[in-house]
Amino acid sequence: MYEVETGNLLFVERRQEAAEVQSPAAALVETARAGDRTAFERLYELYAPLVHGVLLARVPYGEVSDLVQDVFLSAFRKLEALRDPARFGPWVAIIARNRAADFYRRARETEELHESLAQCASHEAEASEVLEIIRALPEAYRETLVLRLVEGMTGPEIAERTGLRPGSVRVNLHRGMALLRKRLGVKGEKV
Amino acid sequence: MSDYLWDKTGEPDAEVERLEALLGGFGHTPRPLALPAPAATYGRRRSWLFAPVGLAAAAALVLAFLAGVVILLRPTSEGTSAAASGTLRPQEGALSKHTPEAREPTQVPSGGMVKDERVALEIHRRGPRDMKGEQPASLQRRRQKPAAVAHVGTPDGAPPAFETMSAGGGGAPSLFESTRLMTKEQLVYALRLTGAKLRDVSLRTQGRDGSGQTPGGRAPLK
Repeated sequence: MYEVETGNLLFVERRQEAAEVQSPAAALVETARAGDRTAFERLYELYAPLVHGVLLARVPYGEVSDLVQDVFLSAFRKLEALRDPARFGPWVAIIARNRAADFYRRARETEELHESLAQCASHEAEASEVLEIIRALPEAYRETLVLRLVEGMTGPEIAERTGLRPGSVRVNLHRGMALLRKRLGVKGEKV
Repeated sequence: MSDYLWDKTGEPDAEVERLEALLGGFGHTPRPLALPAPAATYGRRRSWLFAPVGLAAAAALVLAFLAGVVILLRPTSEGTSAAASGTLRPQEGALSKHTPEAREPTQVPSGGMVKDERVALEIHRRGPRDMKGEQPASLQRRRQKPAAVAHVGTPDGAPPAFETMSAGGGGAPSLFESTRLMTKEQLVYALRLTGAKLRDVSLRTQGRDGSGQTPGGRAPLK
C-alpha cells in the first residue's frame, strides 16, 4: 500500500523535475570545460560539502579532507567525460563513493583510529561515537543524515546536489532519523 | 512529521538540534583547491625552451665526434711507414674499378691519409655486404694465410682484436691498415648518423610553426 503511494508521489515529482530550469552547475561546467579554472573552483565551493559528506559517511574523519581534494582533482581531469553538465553533483558524488571504496581496498589499518579517539575530550568522543552509529546505518540513510546533520544542508539542497528525488530524500531523512534515535536510545540504556 | 528536519523551518526538534551541534565540528572546512597546471601551456613552453638546448647538444655532439676523428686520423709513425711502403696500392686498384674520382691522381703531398679517407668512404658507401664480394687485396691475402693471422675481426664487421698486431712478419702492416680502415669506417658512419640527427632536429625546428622561422626569429638551419 505504501509502495503504491510512494510510486505515485515519485512519478509526480519526476514530471515536476523535467519542467525545472537547468541547474546553475551546468553553466559552470561548460565554462570550466572551456578552460576557465575559476569556474571549476566555483564548482568546488558549491559541491565540496556534498563530497565531504559522502566521504565522511564512509571513511575516517582524518582522511576525508585529502580525499576531497583527490575527488575534485579526478573530476577536473575527467570533466570532458561528463555527458550531462547539469548532473555534475551526482557525478562527483559517484566519484567520491568510488574513491571511498578504493580507500578501503588500499588501507584497512586506518580502522584503528576510532578506538584511539575515545581517549579524547568527552565532547569529541561522544561526537565520534554518534558518527560511528550513523556510519553503521544502511547506506541510503547514513549519507543523507551526514549531509543533513554534519554538513548542515536542508532536504531540498541534498536532493538538488545528489540528484535524488526530494521525496526519496525526505523518506531517507525521516526513516534514518528514527533509526538513529532508536540506536542512540539503545546505546544510552546500555551505558 | 517535523519540518525542521526537512528544511529547517517550523518548530525546532531538540534532538536534531543537539545532533547538529554535536556533529557540526566534523563539517567541511573550506580549503583552497590545488589544481594542476594546464597541460597545453606547459607543453608549449617546454618545447620552446628546449629547442635551443637540443640544438646546442647536437652541435656539441658533432664537435666531439669531429675532435675524435681528427685525433684518430692524425698521422702516426706506423701509418706513415705503411703508406710509404705502398701497402695501400692494391686497395687503390680495387677502388679505381668502381669510382671515377679514384682514377684521378692524388695531388696532396701527404697522400697516405687522403687515400685512407677515400677508402673508408668508399667502403662505407658500398656497405659492409659489398665488402664480402670485393675485399681489399690485403684482406684476401690475409685469409689465404690463416696461420699467420689467427683472427682479424668478427663476422659483423667489428674491429679486429689488437693482439693480432703482434703476429709479425709481412702481414703486420696490412693488418694495421685494415684495423685503421675499419675504425675510420665506424667513425664516418657515426658522423653521418650525427649529421642526420642534426638535420632532423633542424627540420623539426623549422616545421613547428610552418613559417620556417626558428623560435628566436633566426633563419632556419640548412
